[in-house]
Amino acid sequence: MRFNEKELISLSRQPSECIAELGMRGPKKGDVVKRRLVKLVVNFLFYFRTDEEEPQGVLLLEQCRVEREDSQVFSIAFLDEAERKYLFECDSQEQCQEWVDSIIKASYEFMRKNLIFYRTEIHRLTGKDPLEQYGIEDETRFQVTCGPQPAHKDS
Amino acid sequence: MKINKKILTHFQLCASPVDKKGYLCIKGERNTSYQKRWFVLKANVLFYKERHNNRDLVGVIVLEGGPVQLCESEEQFAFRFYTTALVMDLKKQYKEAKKAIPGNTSQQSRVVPNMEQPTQKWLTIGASSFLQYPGTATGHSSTNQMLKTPPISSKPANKRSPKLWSKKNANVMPIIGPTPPQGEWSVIGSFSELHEDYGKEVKKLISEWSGRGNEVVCQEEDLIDFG
Repeated sequence: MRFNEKELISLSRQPSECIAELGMRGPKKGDVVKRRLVKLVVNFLFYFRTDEEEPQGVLLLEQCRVEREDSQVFSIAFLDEAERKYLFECDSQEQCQEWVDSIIKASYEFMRKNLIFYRTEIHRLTGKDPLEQYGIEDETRFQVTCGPQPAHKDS
Repeated sequence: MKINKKILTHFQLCASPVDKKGYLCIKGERNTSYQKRWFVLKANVLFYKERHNNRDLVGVIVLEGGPVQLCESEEQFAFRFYTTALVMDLKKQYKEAKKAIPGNTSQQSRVVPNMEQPTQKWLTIGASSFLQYPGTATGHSSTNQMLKTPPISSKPANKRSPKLWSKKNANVMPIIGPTPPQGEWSVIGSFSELHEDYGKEVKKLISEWSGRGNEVVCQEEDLIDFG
């Protein structure tokens, strides 16, 4: 599968407030905890081997579940496979909670829900639809009732 | 750099809302001919595969943080996807609307979700490939499904509504603008500043398009009325 690695590497260099060295363990059986520099940029979670410039890998934080595992450990699960999780060990409870909150807010899905919320509230409070000024008020993805849609609906 | 194909495939196939989908022809850097692929835009990732009912992805393009190139000659592409700038603007409007209501001071009828995304520019698109609609200059069959576009509003363009694009391109909006220097990312500024910057580019484009005889609804004032 091809992907635009250059752009991703460039993205991994953007400043981020969520960057720390954490203990990271992959989802497969037999994966062990390794220290990695973990960096959150928009909805991508990059992880670097310490002292390496280029990320070892990246996770797209959409359709994932973030959970607190214990006081200093959080996990991210993808693919609806609850048992296969990435685990991250933090240095403190506080740091752990910060990461969990940041990752939850990082996804586009979260952003879309906010957009719909604000749109609905503004309309309720003012009688105006704030998306009209952008000409995007009719788009399905911004409708209040828009939830998951079946894939390939129109194909 | 590793990227997990299974995670991306799952995200593409799952039932989350699709921002845009359809067939496009893509030309990469190495291959000089166009290949028709089924594209799905979700969030800030563009997925493509050979056919719409294939499961496997041929590739993904991460649309974050790269410069966009509007190619006017035979190739043109445009995407529109919303960004944190849009949500931040709505958040601001919401706060103002709440303030405007008399007696509505400390009481909150609903919990406001706390949007603390890092300030982000109006997204520009990174593409090392060229994309075009099938059925244009290269002579591909025009019976193919065009991009699914949201219905074009039948409301007459009014002063408050920036319906700037000709109907043909109503849902095809070039997103261009100042691009960050390679490898750097600086916060450009508030939404108003961004809007001014991009507004100048857009107005320039409008005058160019008007000159070429395209049907364009122009307006003299601000593209978006901040009230």
